[in-house]
Amino acid sequence: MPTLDPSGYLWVASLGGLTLFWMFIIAPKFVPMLSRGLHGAESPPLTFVDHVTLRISSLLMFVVAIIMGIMLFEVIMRYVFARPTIWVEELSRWLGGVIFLVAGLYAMQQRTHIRVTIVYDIINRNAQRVMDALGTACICTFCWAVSWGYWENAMRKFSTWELYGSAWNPPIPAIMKPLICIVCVWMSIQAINNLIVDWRRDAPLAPPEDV
Amino acid sequence: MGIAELSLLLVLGIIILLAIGVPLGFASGFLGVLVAYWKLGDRGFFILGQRMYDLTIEHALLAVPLFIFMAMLLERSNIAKDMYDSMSVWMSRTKGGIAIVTSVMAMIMAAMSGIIGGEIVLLGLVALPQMLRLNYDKHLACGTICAAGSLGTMIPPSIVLIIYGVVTETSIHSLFKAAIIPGLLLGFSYIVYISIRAHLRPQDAPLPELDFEVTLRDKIIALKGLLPPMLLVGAILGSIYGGITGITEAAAIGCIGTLLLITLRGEMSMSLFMEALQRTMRSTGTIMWVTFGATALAGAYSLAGGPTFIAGLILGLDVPPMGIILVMMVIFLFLGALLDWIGIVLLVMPVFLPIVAGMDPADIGLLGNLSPSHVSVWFGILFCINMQVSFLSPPFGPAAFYLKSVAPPDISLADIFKGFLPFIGIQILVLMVMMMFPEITTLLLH
Repeated sequence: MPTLDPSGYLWVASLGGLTLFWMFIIAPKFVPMLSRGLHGAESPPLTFVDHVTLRISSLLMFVVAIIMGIMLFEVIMRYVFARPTIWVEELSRWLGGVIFLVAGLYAMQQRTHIRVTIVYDIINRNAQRVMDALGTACICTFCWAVSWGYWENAMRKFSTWELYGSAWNPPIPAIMKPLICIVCVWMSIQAINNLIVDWRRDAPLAPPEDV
Repeated sequence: MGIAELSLLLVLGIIILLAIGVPLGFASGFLGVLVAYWKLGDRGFFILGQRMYDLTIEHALLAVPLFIFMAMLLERSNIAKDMYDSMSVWMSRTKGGIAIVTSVMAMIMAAMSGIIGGEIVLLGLVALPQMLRLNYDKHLACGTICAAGSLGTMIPPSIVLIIYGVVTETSIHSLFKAAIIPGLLLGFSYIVYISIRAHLRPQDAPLPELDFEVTLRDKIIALKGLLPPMLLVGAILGSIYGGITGITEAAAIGCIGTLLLITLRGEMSMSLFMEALQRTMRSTGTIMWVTFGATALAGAYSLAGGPTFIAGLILGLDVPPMGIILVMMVIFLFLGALLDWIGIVLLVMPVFLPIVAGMDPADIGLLGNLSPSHVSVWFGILFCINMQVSFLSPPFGPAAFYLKSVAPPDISLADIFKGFLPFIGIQILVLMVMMMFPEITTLLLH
């Protein structure tokens, strides 16, 4: 991991500050996922875990717009100014990876992961609770196995700050590999949270209408 | 336990897990964990993470969130509705006109975006009420909307072809070129079917009673509604086929174009923009984690020697090459009725494609003129047509569920699926033609 000089600390601190400012002050007023109920009128109160997932998503959802923007920049630089950039392709790859991983957490919080509910819909509520518990066990097994098996490699890449080995050379392996482990662990936490929230309800939470 | 028992257990396992409502991605991921543990112990888990990592930094996959974002923006705008209204003016005196307009509109929308969910919902909101108001046969109406709406993943740009290209390392650009003719052929076959049916059974597709005359002037004014979608199609497909940008960048340009059009039309608002982003994130997460789970299972299964085993089974069938391909198509149709297409690409393609690629090109098709370098492109197109069927086939055909979510309550799922039958027939017919004459798909490749 690279060492930071004082101005580097200032950068990191101000970026972190801005992120928190967005997540706690601005986003709750303007971002629909935070300012409105998620499941219509019968929206359950959000737990701490839901809050973390939603606040992170309320920031990272803009990544798609950023990717769109930098790609337009690249096309303009290439054709109008004949000066193609070296960083757009790699930055978009990097940001894309982040969104692919974190979007899964948001989808989990919203209960929109693709599942077949033909049997689930016709059995009684207690059997549904058992099925939910089994499903959560599957999710946790998968997520923990991935983080467990990948942790050592990911930590090595992080501590040696492995770079991508390209022209612009961003630290993609050093960041993305640990991120996979972190997202997987949080995915299992979100799944357990969903299980607890749904367990107490008389009817399972349906995904939002506009999927 | 050998690989044969393991394969059987996996099929059984996925069916049980899906039946108890485990999300598809995690069900396959969970089985992947078990297989990896069975083969290598906990050292095997590393493979799962590594396969996920390879997918997360895959540049071609970026087109997925971008095309979803574009579809989400279009869905909230009236661009599609205006296009529908202007085409209706032109087709108001043609038998089956509204259904034909619906198909043409679906084809244009398919050329703008590469996903089907939004397209079918939109057609269900715009075109279905019109057709029902004119007393169209409800089976014909539902069938037209879903079959034509599914073309979103057949006519380029197409997410199915992008993921197929990534998984099998086939040129996505070639796939997009090869898909043009089969995609249009499917669309025009639907239109031909609709007009024949409207002529033979006029009660299924009654003409509207107009209390005014549609003049040429009206028709020319109406063309205005076609302009924005045509601009978008031109920008996206022009960038791709003109060799100006890659597919991901073309998707980004499509998003920018849509944002510009929406702003010019005065429909833009902060909440529209943010809602589109947030729904993009939700859909991206859903698609990508199915992919992650499937790649984990595919990785573990090939480590355990699964693909070699299945390949041996299929090659041991002792049938000619076209017979093997036919068997594969039947397997695709069967799996397509049960599984999501991403799962099929990731789980089955690593097994099937090497077998097909190993065949003598002279044995493929009736003419045997397919160039060896085009085999994987052709097979991708066959797969893509097959997935068109899977969107419509009961019990899980997603197109039916998308339409049901916006259809009036008196249209049941059974009605919708019944309306699909003739269209599934057409799709299988086109599939057979492409299988017998692979040269059609590669016509544009030179």
